[in-house]
Amino acid sequence: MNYGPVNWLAPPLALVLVILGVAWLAWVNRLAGDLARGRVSLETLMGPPRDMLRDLHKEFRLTERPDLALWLGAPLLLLTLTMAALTVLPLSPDWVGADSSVGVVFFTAMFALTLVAAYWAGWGPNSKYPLIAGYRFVGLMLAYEMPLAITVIAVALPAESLSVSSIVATQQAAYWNALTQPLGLVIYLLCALAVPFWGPFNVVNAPELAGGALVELSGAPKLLWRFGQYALLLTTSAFAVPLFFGGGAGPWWPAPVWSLVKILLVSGALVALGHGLGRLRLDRFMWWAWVVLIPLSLLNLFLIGLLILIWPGLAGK
Amino acid sequence: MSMEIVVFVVLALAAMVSGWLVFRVDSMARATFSLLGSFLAVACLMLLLASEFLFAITFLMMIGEMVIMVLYMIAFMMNPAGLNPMNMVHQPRWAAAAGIVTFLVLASVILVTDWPVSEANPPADVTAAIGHELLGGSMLIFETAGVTLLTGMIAVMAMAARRGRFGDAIQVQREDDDGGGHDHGGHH
Repeated sequence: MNYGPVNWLAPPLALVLVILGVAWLAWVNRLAGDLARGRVSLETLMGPPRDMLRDLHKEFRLTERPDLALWLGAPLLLLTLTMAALTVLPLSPDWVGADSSVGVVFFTAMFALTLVAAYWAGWGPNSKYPLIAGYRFVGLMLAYEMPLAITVIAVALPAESLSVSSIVATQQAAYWNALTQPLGLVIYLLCALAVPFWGPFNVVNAPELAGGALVELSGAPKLLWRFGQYALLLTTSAFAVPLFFGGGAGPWWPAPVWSLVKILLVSGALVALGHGLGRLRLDRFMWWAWVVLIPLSLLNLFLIGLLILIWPGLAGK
Repeated sequence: MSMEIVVFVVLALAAMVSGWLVFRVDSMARATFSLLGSFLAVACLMLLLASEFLFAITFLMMIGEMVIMVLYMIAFMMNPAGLNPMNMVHQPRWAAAAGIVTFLVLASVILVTDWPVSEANPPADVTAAIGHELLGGSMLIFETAGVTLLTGMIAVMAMAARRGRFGDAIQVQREDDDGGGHDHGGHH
């Protein structure tokens, strides 16, 4: 457990990068929505900062007998779990917060805290629709957490390591996991949409529940909650880069630049994809996870294990 | 005082205080997440045992466990008043007596026992050692325990949910639904 000296510049740098990434996602989201409706204008560019300022100067409305600790704790926890997960994300072998030997288990555990944050956001205001939204998300995400974890294990298999850096190094020595495990990539990306409740999986801020957890949330906590959701989406899609797209591998540019470019591309694609996927009824979403995705992710795990046994070169040996 | 002692004391206190809060708070949600806080503090204690894997996996499992618990609380709640503030203890006198007796017995066991001190160093790769233990020598034990627990959970669910959340009341409802379904099903 020797991680070397603490670099005090790393946390503020990570926060700046997350803020820039969230700004990018907010703009991509706005652009994708406006393109779909055919009304791209100056409003597309100015919309996200205007929304931010609007939330900031609005007052925070209280409800009747809220559980303030959990309600206000929800956006804080959402952002905290995101930053904690990012500590094990390597931009290059040197650019990493803490190269934990069990990095993939650690970030999966941090993603699981989303369940807690969403439940708090639902329970906190002591209001009907947020409560239902929180409970719906608990059911939904418990179902999508399983295929996520199994897919992540399948990615760790060729590297014979749970460290994210080793997974990157193995891909750079052999083949990207995106090529060897396309099925795993699709499952991971679906779960990367489900965990930050984006697009069709947005049962937390659900439009069919008049906004779900957002019904009663206002002012700066609402801004923090929306920021946290974007930051989490950025993080879940960012991990696709070291897990499937060879981390910082690429010509001409240094590794951290390539990592950042890939992260912006993957997260931007997922945000735009959120506008294109159909919304299913909740029980059908859960049916897909339990009956289709979990067996498929087990099949993916079995196939990659078999492939490595037959062809060790796949794992760089 | 070394850093490890400080971390141990902070985490141990966090585990105990949040465990105590479980019975002092008045809402289902707060009790659940106080208990989760206690478990997570214990998970962090694993780091002091140089086992990052046990830390991360306990953290992950405890979150899942507690969140499944809040789901089951609703699923098996007979009375929606459970969403209101409520008292988290019942039979407080008996519980206090049992708690004190258990504490005295366990504490005296700690003090009386002559604990062996291991000379062995932890293995170079703790995670790999755990993996070999789980899927090697002790596989039969772990698998038997795991499958038994799973069977127990499914059995309890089946027994609790056999008559449904509303008991006999739902039976009448279902028959009505079936009748309605047939009418629309093309029997005319």
